[in-house]
Amino acid sequence: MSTSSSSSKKIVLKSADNETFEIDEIVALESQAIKNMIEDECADNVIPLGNIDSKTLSKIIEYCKKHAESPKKDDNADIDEKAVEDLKSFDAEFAKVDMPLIQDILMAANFLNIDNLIGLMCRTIADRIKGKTPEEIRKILNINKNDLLSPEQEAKAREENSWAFD
Amino acid sequence: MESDDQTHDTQSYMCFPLSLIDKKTHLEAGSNIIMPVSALSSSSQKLVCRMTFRVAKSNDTSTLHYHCGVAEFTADDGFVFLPTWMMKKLNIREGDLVNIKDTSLPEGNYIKVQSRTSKFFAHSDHELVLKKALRDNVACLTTGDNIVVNHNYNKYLIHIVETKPSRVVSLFENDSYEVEFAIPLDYYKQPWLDLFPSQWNGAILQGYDTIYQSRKKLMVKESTVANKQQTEFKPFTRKRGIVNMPDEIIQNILGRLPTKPLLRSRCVSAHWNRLVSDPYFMKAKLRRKILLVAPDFHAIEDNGPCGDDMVKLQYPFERRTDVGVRNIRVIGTFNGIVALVVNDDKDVGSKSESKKSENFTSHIILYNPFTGASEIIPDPYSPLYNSKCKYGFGYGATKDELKIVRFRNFKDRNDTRYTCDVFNLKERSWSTSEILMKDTRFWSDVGTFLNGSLYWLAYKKIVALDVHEMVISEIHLPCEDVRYNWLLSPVF
Repeated sequence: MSTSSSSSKKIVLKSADNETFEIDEIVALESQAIKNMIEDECADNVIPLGNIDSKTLSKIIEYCKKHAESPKKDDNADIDEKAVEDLKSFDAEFAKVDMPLIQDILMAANFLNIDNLIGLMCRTIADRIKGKTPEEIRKILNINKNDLLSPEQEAKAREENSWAFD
Repeated sequence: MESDDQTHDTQSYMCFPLSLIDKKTHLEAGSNIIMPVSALSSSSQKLVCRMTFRVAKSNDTSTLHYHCGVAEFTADDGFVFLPTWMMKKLNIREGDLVNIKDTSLPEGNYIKVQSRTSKFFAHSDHELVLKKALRDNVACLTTGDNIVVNHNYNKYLIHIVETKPSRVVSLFENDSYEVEFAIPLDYYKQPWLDLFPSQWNGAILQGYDTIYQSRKKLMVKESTVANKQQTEFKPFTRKRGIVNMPDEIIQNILGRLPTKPLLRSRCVSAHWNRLVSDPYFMKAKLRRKILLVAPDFHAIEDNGPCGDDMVKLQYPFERRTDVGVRNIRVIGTFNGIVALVVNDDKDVGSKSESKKSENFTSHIILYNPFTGASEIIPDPYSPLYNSKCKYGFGYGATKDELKIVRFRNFKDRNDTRYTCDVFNLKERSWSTSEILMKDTRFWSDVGTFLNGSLYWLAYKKIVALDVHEMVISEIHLPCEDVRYNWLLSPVF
């Protein structure tokens, strides 16, 4: 359980569609799952990620790079405001993608265990469904109608929280 | 219910890493420690049969602690040897003082583990290998632990995903627990799928199940091509979209919605309705609000100033239609759940005691202001009109161990005999016992909860209750004269 890190070490990730990405180990360590694998020395030269396609993976690497490069909050109590602002605007820009990709990134981030990215994606989805009707939410998130509430359940939900539907 | 336990069971030792002792370095991998033989004699006899201890740094105000067993009683008096990882975890340096307390833990009956590598399953007797390693090195197991299993000159890192019946369990002289293996972390890169135990035919681990299912389909395809191109991965159709995400993620999303949109989202699907209506929709920790307890409940949200700062909430119980007095008290709040006591007195005018009792009801209600969900706790010991009740709401060793405590006073002139009712939220059961507290007149009706104990202000003293051990102790006040308007306040 020791942390072995040399700054120049490279890690190769392979996507489901066989594209390889060579990244610095420090970037890969943003993922708790990969970090565990490396610490356990069970990561070979190439880590295949059979459930993440290259489009999603490249986005995730973009995110991890940025976050690995910026100073961490707990390293230094008074890091300059600019870096924080910079990261915030990066996150905002990063989240400006279509809903299917957001969901793919969220799934992959959950698998790779990247806490910040899970939070960012959940927040993005929450922001996009905030002011919407249930019907609109179903459309945005592509939730099919097999699992609708029964009329009684729906009536009950509306009645219990009638003020929420004003 | 005496407070004698604590002082006798807790011993302080000077702590050093196990690696300092010759030929004991193998113990570094486990969670057992070496204690002096005097530990046996100084503690009560029950220790010998339990053999599980709680370790914490002395003079540490945090609640950081760890449970462990004992490998040997060979240390010199006053010294104790811990694995290095445990010292790190507890923030202990060589030579620091540690407090060790004998505790009782529930016997484990189930553990779920995840190996970092599927190579572990190359051993056909992997379950036995694991159990043997646990028997040799680990007397208690904590959910979230990582343990190292040495076998045939290989080291395997095993992550403890879950333990039952509680987050920390005892495995001391216990081989009868069930083991479930989650899919190993590196699973998708191993070509030798046939080594997987048959129990993995179903989806097991959240997040891994979809991959596993898809991989299984792929595997069927592959085997028909007869291992032609073992290394080549083809992109396979994954289950995509929010419908296939674990509940945890969906709750994470929903937990970020303001109250109104959150409640509207119940109508999106039956699945979402279930998630939001769950009274223990715990993701509330992402949000905070201030609750206004009044004839209509209101909340002030903390997500910045917006149009509707004060939100009217679903009232958690029947409205009063008759004349009478309703008295609502908040007895505590945890993870977004508020515990309320609601006393209804329908008949204010009546002088007769029996009539008053007839018209009096008292309920304990759990209420989630984020979702409006509420639940009346069934209460077989519901207090009478004239009993003076004192309440408390807190948790013990783990946050799972949530309890509601109520002291009911007998009609007793000296205020010394109380019945103590405890409702355990996890087991959903009441227990009740009669206790004697000499010269105890409670001033505060609701206990203040801090770090595993509830505190009530009483005449000339503070009554403290350890929620886990259910032990009462008393703290004397610096001055005799106590007024009704005195308060206890936790400081964070």
